Amino acid sequence: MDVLFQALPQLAKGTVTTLYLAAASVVLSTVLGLVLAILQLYGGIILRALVEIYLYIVRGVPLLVMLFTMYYALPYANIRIEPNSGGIVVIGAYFAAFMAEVFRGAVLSVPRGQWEAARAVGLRTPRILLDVVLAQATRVAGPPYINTCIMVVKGTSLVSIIGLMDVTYVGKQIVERTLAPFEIFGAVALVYFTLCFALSRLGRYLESRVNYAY
Amino acid sequence: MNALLRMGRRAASAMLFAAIGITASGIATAQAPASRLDEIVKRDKLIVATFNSAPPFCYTDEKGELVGFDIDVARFIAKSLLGDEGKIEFVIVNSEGRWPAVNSGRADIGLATTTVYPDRALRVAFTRPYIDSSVSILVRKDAKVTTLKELNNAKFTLANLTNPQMVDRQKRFLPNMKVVTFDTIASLFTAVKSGQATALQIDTPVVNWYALNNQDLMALPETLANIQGNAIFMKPGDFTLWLWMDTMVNEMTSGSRYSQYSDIYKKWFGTNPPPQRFYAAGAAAATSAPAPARAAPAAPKKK
Amino acid sequence: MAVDFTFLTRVAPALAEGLTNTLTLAAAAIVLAAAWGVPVVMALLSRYRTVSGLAQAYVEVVRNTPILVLMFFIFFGSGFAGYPLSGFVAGLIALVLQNGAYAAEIYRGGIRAVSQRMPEAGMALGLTPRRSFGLIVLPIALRNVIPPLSNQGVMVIKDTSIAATISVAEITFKARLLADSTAAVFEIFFTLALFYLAITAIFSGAMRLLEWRVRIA
Repeated sequence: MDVLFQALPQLAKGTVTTLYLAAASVVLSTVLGLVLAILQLYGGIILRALVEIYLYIVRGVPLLVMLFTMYYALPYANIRIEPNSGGIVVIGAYFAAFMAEVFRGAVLSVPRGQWEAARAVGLRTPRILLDVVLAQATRVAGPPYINTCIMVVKGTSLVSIIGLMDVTYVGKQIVERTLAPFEIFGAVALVYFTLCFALSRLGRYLESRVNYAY
Repeated sequence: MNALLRMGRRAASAMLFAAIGITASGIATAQAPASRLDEIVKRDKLIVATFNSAPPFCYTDEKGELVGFDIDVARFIAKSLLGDEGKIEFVIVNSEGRWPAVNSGRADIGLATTTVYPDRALRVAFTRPYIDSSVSILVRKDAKVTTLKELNNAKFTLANLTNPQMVDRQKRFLPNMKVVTFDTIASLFTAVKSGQATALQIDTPVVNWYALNNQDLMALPETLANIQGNAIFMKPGDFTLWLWMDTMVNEMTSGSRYSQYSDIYKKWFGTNPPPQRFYAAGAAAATSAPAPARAAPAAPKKK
Repeated sequence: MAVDFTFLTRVAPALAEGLTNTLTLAAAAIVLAAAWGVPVVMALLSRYRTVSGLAQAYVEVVRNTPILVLMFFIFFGSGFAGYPLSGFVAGLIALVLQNGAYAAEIYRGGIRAVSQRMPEAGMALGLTPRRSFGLIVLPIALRNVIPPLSNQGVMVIKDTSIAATISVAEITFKARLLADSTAAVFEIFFTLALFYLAITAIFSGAMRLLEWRVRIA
């Protein structure tokens, strides 16, 4: 336990990095995901095909391989990215594909009839999108969106492999010094668990709100 | 011109180099595009790629601070170049992340307990070594082996870093051992300490450090290599920067900065660095005594 | 920059050395996780509060912990506990523990999705609740879970790459070794990505075939 106490300040520092990476990646993946979903739903055939290819690649290639490519390979193509922002860009772009699925599914969950009904009462397209479709879609998207956020938080742990000092990395370092893997990795797991569990409770809450509304 | 630079970069031979170097540096500063060295001076900060898990060279202490021999050397270089050892930024990399770190320009130079190998020198430019090294084996005492021959047994496991030189050495010296591979020296150590591996191979000073600090581990008396050198590495092709760094290393190991260098050396290894001149064996003891005067090329810091 | 694809023939064989490990680890993890999900879902749906509570806690813990941390925990932890597990076994255990929980959630969703009326109808025809569950709910639920299981399987295949950090010599691991010894890093990781795309495409194709087969019934 002493080991854990001494490690706390460093673990806290790592947790801050993890939080920062996770928050930035969530924001980026949400924005990118929205763009992708919109392109997929309303874009022309070429744009849609491009988005499909993008989604296909992301679904089939491990996040770790993408991080390695950014970290080791891009420099040789003379593309320079700071590891921190590079990590955020890769994680954000990767989970944007999952976000896009969430958003697209939510929009498609609004029945076609609603569009027709809204048209029939004389609403214009932007208003239908905002007041009718999005109003309902955001509710449907809530729980799966939270699930994807949890995946993002867990995904940030991989940046430790390319040397970013997130909480996983710090944990590994402390284990090397203290040789107490159970305590330290246990504490690291607890950090992720707390973050993700809080998120999943939020998801449950949203889910209950959605059901209540109907 | 290009051919000359390439030759210099690969440090073909010291003599040939000295002759070409002096002429080429004049031309290089006159014609070559701005050197990274100017960029460093202008930005007033040196960016160094390093490890943070390789004691006693570059590792993180209990407080989470980056410390070690390489770190002190890097700070000393920053002080010599920019006048302040605080004008430095460290970029943390892992074993195979060293090369892209300097080749991409993310870092100016790399100091990460890096051994000079000819195949590596194809991809990065090395200065002359700033410290001698060798490769030793750190082994668990409970394995009850004292020789390489006893260790070379299928019931034992060797921990390697993700680099091909380790694989080559293992195949040559310890072909019967099982192998596990990791990306940081810290992981190698944790693997041996935890019993995931029986032994690890790494630079002799690192092995000695771990053996000193861990009662249950020891260094095998035999080594897997003769003397080899650890050097500063950087992106090839920038002659001005390379020459400055190489000069700096020479000044530290056997020139005007020898006393500061041996202070750092003693701080981390407890002994004086080996004398660099056979005729000045006594000089090491008196750290303030300057090394014998010799013509050192002037650093092309300012044009 | 001219693109020269001949590197594929040079890089691919070297990477392929790690293919056996990737495929064995992925296949073992998928099969074992799908199997492990069964007792977990049974515990989740148990009538006994303590059992379902414990199962729920297990699912929450492993689902909310990164697979990398789980692997470190098991790999280094097992060593210090005196029973060093190989990287392969430690990685496999971590993958099965986590994905077994996901599989259990998928099974639960699949069972829930079957209308409550169906087993009632079965019981009305004189089946015992147990037989009505086995003969009516289960076959429909099994069909429901194939697509999400297939998605999870793709995730498992991708997660095997993380086992490289605990010394499993799979293809990502080979790629890192190659990346240290050559300058063709871009080509290496490009080829690596192609490998994963091929493996996941074959896997999802096979699962889709299975889905199609059981749908006819």
